[in-house]
Amino acid sequence: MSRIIVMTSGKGGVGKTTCTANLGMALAKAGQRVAVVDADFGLRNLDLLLGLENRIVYTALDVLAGECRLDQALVKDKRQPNLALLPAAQNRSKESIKPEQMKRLIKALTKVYNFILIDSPAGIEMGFRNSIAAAREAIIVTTPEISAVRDADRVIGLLEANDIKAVRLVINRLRPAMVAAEQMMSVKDVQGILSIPLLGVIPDDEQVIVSTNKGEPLVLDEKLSKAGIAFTNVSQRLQGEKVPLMDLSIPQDNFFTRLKRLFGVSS
Amino acid sequence: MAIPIISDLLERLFGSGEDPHSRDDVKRRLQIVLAHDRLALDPQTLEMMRQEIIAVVSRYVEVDFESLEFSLATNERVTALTANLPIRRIRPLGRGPDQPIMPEQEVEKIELASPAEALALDAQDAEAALRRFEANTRDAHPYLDIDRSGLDEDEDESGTTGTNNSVLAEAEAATSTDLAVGESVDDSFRASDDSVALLEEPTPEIPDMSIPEASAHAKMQSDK
Ligand SMILES: Nc1ncnc2c1ncn2[C@@H]1O[C@H](COP(=O)(O)OP(=O)(O)O)[C@@H](O)[C@H]1O
Ligand SMILES: [Mg+2]
Repeated sequence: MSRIIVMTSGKGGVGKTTCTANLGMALAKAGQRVAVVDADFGLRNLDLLLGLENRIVYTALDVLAGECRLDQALVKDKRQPNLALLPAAQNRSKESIKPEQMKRLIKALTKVYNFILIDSPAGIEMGFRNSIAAAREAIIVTTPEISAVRDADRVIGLLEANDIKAVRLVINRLRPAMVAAEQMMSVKDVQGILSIPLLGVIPDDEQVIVSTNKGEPLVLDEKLSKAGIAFTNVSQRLQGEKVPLMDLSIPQDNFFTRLKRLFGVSS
Repeated sequence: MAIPIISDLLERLFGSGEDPHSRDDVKRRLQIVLAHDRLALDPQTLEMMRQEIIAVVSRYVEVDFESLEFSLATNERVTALTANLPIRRIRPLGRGPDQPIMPEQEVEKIELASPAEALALDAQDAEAALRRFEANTRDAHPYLDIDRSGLDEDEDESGTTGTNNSVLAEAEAATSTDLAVGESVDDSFRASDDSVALLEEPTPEIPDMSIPEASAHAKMQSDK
């Protein structure tokens, strides 16, 4: 049976699309057949993060309008043939598609793909409802910031109300130095407050931007960055492997090491 | 390098910095806001519920209105309303649980429903006593006024240091004045004044609203 997973957050800009691109690619690398679905109609980005923007011919809307078959709209990744993107229309609003139609698209994808990741738009309106309509699992993406966590909580409630019970948490953009300085909520804080199982923690990493610029998900890098490792770990946990949380504690260039250095104690 | 290290050291030792415990702060704010979000109750309803709970409990026991606490807390995605209502004492007058409660007029209602006929006379005495009592203490009462410039000599000792301190000191001074006068009366006078002041915002009605307590007091005395 295929896994249908919506990536959602409530708040925008917390890393849903980044997570979808990297998880999709990591799962494909691991041999899974993966379809990533851009459900952010009107503000599509997933194509950019995957570097597939120039190969889009049809979109999900064209499939629904009967202008093409589903397989014609799917953009297959050349680097990783196990991965395909179902693009959203860029010039239509989120209201241009209904939950029923989304279900039909996803249902068709389950015939071929065993992982379907749906990149949800921000908000909790129509676009969000479309994106969760067919999902059986959800990954809540949040950052350790009050507004993101609050919105995540709201979305968790809505998922529960929509009978999506397998809901797990990815905490993105963690800054260990800030946590150590008591200026940012810790992983434990956020998870404790949201009270859903933790799937992974992605550090704040400038390599994310570098990879976005290139249209190459981090998990494709030969030498994986910290965020690249973290995304790979998440993909493994998603496949049922037990992978310990990576150690994100700050490389000890803090007060104490600097103090030691000041007094000439090498460390 | 030395300067950042020293400031770092100072910050760690004394926890100064711009956001000393911003992590704790944000957790607290988040927990409160989530408890409300999850409950999805509007503030008016919540306040109504609060008042009704206080009203019901107040029928049986005298609640310490200064230290009562209502809070919404959430744990494992379950929200709980926690009411911490410190009890001063059991009500001397029995008030049946089946009496309807209108939070807005709670105290008035109790007065009207005051059962024992025999109490009426005593109550009048008590009312007179209360008026006297209030005339003596109103100026020093900490809950009714904002401009405390006209406070009497008790407060002079505390001086006029920092604003916060002086307000606190004034409140204390006022309370002790209260007590001094209250000694000759019954403690329940204070309690009733407090309760009214906090149950509803201090309003000019307050003297009237304290009357039931006066009758309660009267009853106690007549029982002796
Ligand atoms: N772990 C990270 N470290 C640094 N920047 C990140 C990280 N995750 C996301 N970003 C940046 O945050 C922005 C929003 O990310 P995006 O995935 O588009 O969020 P969403 O899809 O939730 O709106 C992007 O500019 C992205 O590069
Ligand atoms: Mg996005």
